[in-house]
Amino acid sequence: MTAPLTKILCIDDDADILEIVKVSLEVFGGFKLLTCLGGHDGIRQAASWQPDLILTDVMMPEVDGLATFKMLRQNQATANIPVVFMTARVERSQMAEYRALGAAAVIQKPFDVTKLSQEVRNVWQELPARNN
Amino acid sequence: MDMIEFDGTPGADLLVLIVDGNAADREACMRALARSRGTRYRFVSATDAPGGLQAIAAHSPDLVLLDALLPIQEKIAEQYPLLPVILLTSGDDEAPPCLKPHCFKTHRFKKDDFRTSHFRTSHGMDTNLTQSAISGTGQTGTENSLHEAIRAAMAERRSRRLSPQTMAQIEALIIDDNPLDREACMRALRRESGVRYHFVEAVDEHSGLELLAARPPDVLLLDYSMPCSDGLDVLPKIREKHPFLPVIMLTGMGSEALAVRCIKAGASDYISKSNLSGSALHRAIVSAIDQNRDARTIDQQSRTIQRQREHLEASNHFLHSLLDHIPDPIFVKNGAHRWLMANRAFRELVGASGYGHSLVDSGRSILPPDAVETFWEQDEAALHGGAPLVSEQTIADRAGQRRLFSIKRATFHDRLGERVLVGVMRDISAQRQAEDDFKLQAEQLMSQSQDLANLGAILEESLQEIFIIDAETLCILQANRGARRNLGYAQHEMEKLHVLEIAPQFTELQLRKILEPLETGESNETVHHAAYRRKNGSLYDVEVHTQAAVSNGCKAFIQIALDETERKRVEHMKGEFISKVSHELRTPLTSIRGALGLMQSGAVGELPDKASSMVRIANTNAERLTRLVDDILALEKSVSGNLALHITETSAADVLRQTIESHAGYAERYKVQFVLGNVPPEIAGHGAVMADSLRLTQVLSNLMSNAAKFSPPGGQVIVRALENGANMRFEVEDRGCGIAEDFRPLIFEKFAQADSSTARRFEGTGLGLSITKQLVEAMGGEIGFETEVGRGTTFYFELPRPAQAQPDQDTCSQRGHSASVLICEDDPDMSLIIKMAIEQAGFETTIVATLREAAEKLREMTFSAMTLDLNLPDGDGLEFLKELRSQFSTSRMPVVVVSASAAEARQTLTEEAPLTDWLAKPLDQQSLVQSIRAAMQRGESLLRLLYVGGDGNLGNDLAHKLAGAAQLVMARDLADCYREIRARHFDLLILDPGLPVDLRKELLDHVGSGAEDMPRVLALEDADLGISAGPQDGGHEEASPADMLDKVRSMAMSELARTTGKIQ
Repeated sequence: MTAPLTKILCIDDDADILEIVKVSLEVFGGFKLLTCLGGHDGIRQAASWQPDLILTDVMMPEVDGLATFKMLRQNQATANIPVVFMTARVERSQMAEYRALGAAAVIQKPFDVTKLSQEVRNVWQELPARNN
Repeated sequence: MDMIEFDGTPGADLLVLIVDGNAADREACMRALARSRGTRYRFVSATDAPGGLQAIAAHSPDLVLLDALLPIQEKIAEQYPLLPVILLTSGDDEAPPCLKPHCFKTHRFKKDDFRTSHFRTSHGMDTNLTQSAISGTGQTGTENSLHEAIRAAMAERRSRRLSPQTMAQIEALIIDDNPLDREACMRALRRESGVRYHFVEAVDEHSGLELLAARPPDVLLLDYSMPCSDGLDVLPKIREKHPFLPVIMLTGMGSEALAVRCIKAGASDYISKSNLSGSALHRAIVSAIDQNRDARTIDQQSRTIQRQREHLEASNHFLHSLLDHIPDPIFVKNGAHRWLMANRAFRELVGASGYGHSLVDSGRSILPPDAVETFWEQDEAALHGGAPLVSEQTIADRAGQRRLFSIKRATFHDRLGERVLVGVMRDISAQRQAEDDFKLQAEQLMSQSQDLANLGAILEESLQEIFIIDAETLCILQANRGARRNLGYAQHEMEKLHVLEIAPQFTELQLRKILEPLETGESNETVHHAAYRRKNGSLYDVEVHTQAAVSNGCKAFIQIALDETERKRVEHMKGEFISKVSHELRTPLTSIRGALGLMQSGAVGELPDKASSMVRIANTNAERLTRLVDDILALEKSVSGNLALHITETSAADVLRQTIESHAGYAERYKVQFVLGNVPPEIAGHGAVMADSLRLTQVLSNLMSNAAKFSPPGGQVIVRALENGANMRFEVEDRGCGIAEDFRPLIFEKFAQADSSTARRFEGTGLGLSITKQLVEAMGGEIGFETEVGRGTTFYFELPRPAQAQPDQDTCSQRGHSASVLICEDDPDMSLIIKMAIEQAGFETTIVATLREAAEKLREMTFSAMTLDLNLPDGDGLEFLKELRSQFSTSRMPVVVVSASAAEARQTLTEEAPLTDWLAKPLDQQSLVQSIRAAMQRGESLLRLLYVGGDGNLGNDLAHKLAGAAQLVMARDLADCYREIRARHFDLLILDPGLPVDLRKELLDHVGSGAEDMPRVLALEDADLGISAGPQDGGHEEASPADMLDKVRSMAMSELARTTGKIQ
């Protein structure tokens, strides 16, 4: 049985997007949101807050999404938290690349605020191995 | 005696008789006289006395040169008293005395003088002669002396003859029938003292005329009245033959009238017999003789003059004929500019006639008015200059034709000392014309060659690369500076090069194929793209325009190569820019849409109606802007060729169904219904299309949304697929308004929406159909539409179906044009060469310069093969290759190692044989392509295994183990598995031991229920892998991997051998 998804950590370098994601997921999904401006902050918060799922932007200054992802994986505390990439890049090759790296999903920007929470929920439910 | 008077004037003839027994003397005489000037001597000769007398009688010589020893001098003197005789003496011979006082004086000439050349006065020689001889010329030459002697003798004779009183004897012929009268005459004359008469008598006309003919007398006394005839009848007969014979008419009666008649008839005088006195008769005789001698002299002189005139006329005629036959005009003037003469050519030129007088008469006016002045000036200059003068003048001829003459003028003095001008003209019109023509041509040639040189200079200086290439050999004949500079060759190096040396990616055959339309005349120009190789080996992209031409009479090609480096760079930059801008636009768009979406959804509180409506508008347009950004990016990619396509066999029906499903919302929004029409049956070899399923979906989606937008509410959009030969045809049919005719040509243009012509405004970017077309074409298909205004439109496109199972299915055809080769090469020029070669063979290429990039690309997409350099900046190619082989996804990928150290490297990886090939640098492009094809073919011909389930580790290991013998494809789960099985044939399914039992059962059911060509299944158990317990953390570390894999491999192989017999 699937454990409920409640805590979502969102990492982005754009505060506006963080705000929108937060409102969207809180309002439509009823999730608990913690938003972090940038990879460093995200990694730190993830370890301490222990979210069920992490949403991270890919293109960010300093620490980008991939670096963030690797660091999360390297940290025992965050290694098993599913990570969903959010990206404005639409190349399929990259989506495949992220998936190959172990991303739970790739959500394309811009997204539909009304459907984002459902999308996240679908991703969560398609993570069977972890929840077995 | 009828003799020619010798007066010493030039041209006179003298007939000389030489009587001498000595031939040498005769000859000496002739020689001496022949050399004398002025007198023409003719000679007759005799050797003895009788011969001499005969010769005198026969030839009537003017003079006799007589050997003094011959005894005929006296005889001659008697018979021919007026004949001059010069005695030729030898030594000191004494001259015989002159016997008779009346005898003609005889001159002497000493023969020795011929030899001694000294003139000596001969004994008894006349002093006059001596003087004249000595003083005449002052010369001592013998010949002249003899000549002078002759002159003297002749002069003496003349003087003698001029005076009858000095005549020694007068011979008179009396013709009278009366002997008494005759006697009376003779008696009367004999009484006259001083003159000795010698009489010959004739009694009648007849005998008288006979005697007259035999020997003409000095005077004739003719009786007027004779029995048979009278004197007036006889006189004309006598005059006829002897015009200068003195005739005295004797008559008995005598009257004035008769006398006049006689004189008129030709008598010299008239004497009456009645009062005949000796003195009167003698006077009459002497007077008649004198008179007639004068007449004869005058006659002879006039004859001479006549002869001379005739001679002169002949000379003149000759001269004029000569001049007239000279084709060049010749004229002669005197110092006063009077025309003296002009030849026919000149007369014809100016239209004058006559030789001299008419010219003189017409004066200067004979020349055309415009030529007169110059002509005169030149004449004047020549007359006063002395030296010959050459000038040129144009003179219009009679016909008005202007002719150019070169005129040479020279002057001389005539015998009178007057200056004479002679001019010779030569018509040089034609010559000058020819010269002018030649000059003109030369100038034109110069000008043309100058033009050509200018043109050549322009071409030479052009920044474009321009080549002239021998069409026969494809060698470069000429290359301009731009070409030499870009390629880095010197001129002399350039001109030996074969085109293929600078365009190495082509074979001669390929190049000739490209240029063929020029050879056949099918086209004036061909354009192809090439990578030119510089002398230093580096490459650059060019667009080559070729035209056929002729160079130095040989067929040639003119090629202009435009360097595309910059253009490509700019294109690349543009692409980068668009890509970047698109991404950058997305971020704010995400916020805008998010914010608007939240507001619209009411998530952040209820909005008033008006605000809600505004937010809706803003949100709709934000969405539209997002699509626009997407489309621009998509279009840029498809246009620039950066669109990555993953073409596989795709089920047409599946794609159609999925697209319809995903467009349900769309259908709802536009109140249309998407209807799935005909779809091809999905049985073996049918229903599939070679396409990138994602792009195919995108194409269908674009067409369907387009159709929905243009359909009336409640309308249907029918989507179908039909097999059309080798292609699959997709159709999207709407019942909309159709496309206006004038908009049809623009339908696939960017931003072309028929907004203005239709009442309804449709949302969309205006890029959809343009992108759709690009996508279809990128997948090797074609798109089109059929439309009818008011009835609807059907868009259709066709994509290739998979090649039907053919015995020797080739990699390329099976994979279509999408077969893609990764080129890993850090030298950009080398990579370009490889790229060219591979693309030429019909594959797509992707170039990476580092191993890291290569790894990235390999993760992103699947390549049919790759080329690998071993010496790369970020690592060892061999290590990378080993890693590739260890990876599941790349373990079966054909790799062609292109390296200078390929041969050595090969030794280190012996087990890599079947899917790796090794090529040494420098690279032979043909071998490269062959190698890649062969490697692909090997890959394709391998047995196909599908590994289902598991975490991939075992699958990877097994794939590696099987490399070269079989191809192993990995399926993560059953869905993957089913998809793979549908897409292609597998010889064996291998089920991972970790695959749950229920799934195994499902799979086995599925496979078992299928058609005959379903693969065998090998289900691995943990026991097969030597694992006793259940799955544990740490995987298979406890088992020996090599053993385990060998075991699995042998199981797989034996299974395959059992079922297919394909394992050798």
